[in-house]
Amino acid sequence: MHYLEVVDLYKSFVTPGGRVINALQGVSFSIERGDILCVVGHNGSGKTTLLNCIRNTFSWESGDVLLEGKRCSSKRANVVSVFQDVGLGVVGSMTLRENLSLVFSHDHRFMVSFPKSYFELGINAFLERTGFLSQFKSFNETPVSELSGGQRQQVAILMAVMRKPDILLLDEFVSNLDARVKEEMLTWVKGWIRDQKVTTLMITHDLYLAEAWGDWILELSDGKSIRFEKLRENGQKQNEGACTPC
Amino acid sequence: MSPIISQLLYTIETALLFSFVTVGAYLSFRILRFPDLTSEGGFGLSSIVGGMVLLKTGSGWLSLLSGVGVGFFTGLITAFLANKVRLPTILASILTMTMSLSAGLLIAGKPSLTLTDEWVLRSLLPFINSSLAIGIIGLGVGFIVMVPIIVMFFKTGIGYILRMRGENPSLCIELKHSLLLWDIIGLGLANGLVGLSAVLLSQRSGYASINMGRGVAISAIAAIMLSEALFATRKLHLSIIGCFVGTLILQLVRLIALNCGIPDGGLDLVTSLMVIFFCWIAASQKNSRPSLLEQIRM
Repeated sequence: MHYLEVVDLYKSFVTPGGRVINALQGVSFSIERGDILCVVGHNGSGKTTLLNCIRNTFSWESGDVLLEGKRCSSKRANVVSVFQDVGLGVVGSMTLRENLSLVFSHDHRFMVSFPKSYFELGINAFLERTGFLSQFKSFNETPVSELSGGQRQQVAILMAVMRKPDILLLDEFVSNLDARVKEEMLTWVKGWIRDQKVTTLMITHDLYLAEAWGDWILELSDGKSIRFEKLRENGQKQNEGACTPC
Repeated sequence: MSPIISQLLYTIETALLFSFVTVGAYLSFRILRFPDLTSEGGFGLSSIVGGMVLLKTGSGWLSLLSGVGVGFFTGLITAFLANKVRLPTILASILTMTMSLSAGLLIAGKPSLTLTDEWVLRSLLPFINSSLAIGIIGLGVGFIVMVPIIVMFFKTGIGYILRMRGENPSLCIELKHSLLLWDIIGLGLANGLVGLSAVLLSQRSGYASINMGRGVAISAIAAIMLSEALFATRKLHLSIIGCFVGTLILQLVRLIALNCGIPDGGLDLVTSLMVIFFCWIAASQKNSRPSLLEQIRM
């Protein structure tokens, strides 16, 4: 039994003009816990639709998304997403600490205590552990909207990892960052994923990045899987060549 | 007391009364980013229900509580229509407003009620004889107490989620919060403040009317825009104090308009012209923070 398995997934949309778009046409793959799968493909190839099916924000016509053999639902798995749009992962008018405390808001939604004191220790410990404490010290009280795009995306990533995801979905999350920040971010996130053994799907247009970063690569074209290949085992380069494509 | 001083003091008291509506509108428009016009009908309905409870029970506090409850309920209906029936937000609030006006007429059987002299503020300040002084002191203290309560509320988990609900609904969904629940809480609180103001006004003036709320929503928006045009601030406590200042300036403008011979019915026209004027000011200040109306969700 695989950890995450997508079985013969079909999903279509009807445009306002009545045209049917087959976004996913029988996509299948399976990966194990802690694997990184990079999904590549041109615009409109179905990458984001696939992620949205795994997030359970879309229903699909046929096929299934299974987690350890059972239907993957929000109750069974903590699926966390980070998007390309830096604004989507943060609340701009809030400070870094206020944003980070939102992560706790689901478990403590009716808390009467004040996050600033209640979560201070937890957030400090987390920032220190992740190495972000010194970096963020200077703008602790600054609204996130006043930070640079890269810094805002770092906050979004921090919020995502604080949520201890079972499955992490990264939708071109570094495409708006400059080369240096992108490199730092990719290295840090990958280290964290390896350390925590989080199953990750990353969408990217960059084939080189996908091949350098992923354990698996899935290439989509017009909603079909045209390549599903194992690149490395446990972070080590795979020498045996390609696995059987789906 | 000279008539001018008396008029000014009465204007301050009225501004304090309507400041609660402005703060409610601030919560809806600025925090939840919801274009909520429910108060146009909710104000009258709360006043009628509060008035009827006062006449039936003789208890000013019960009347106040029922008015706040009715206000909360109107907010709940608007939130439900916007989230579950998926009506455009502004249409949802207009429908609730219309239903509230009808419900008020059906409940009372007539558009207005004459109330007994039972003002909760008088029971709190029995040592003061002047109604005007009771109003200004009672409402002023109430408003001053409300400011830190609201500021502290928005530093709690509930406050954080409400801010997130307005500013980033996608993240709200991502963090598995119900958009409906948080709209109910936010709009309920905002319209609860409207209900509070309505019942206080009816108890103060000795009558309750379904038409009492005519123009309150647009006046509240005008007051917020006025205060934001005058004092650009990110601090919540200053914004809430700004709600009072904006309402006061608006009431003073209305007072001046009345003294210039503009009839009572023309005051809403003056308020609307002020909204247009401040929208224009906001649009011309290109580098300023996005205006109130630019940020709302439709």
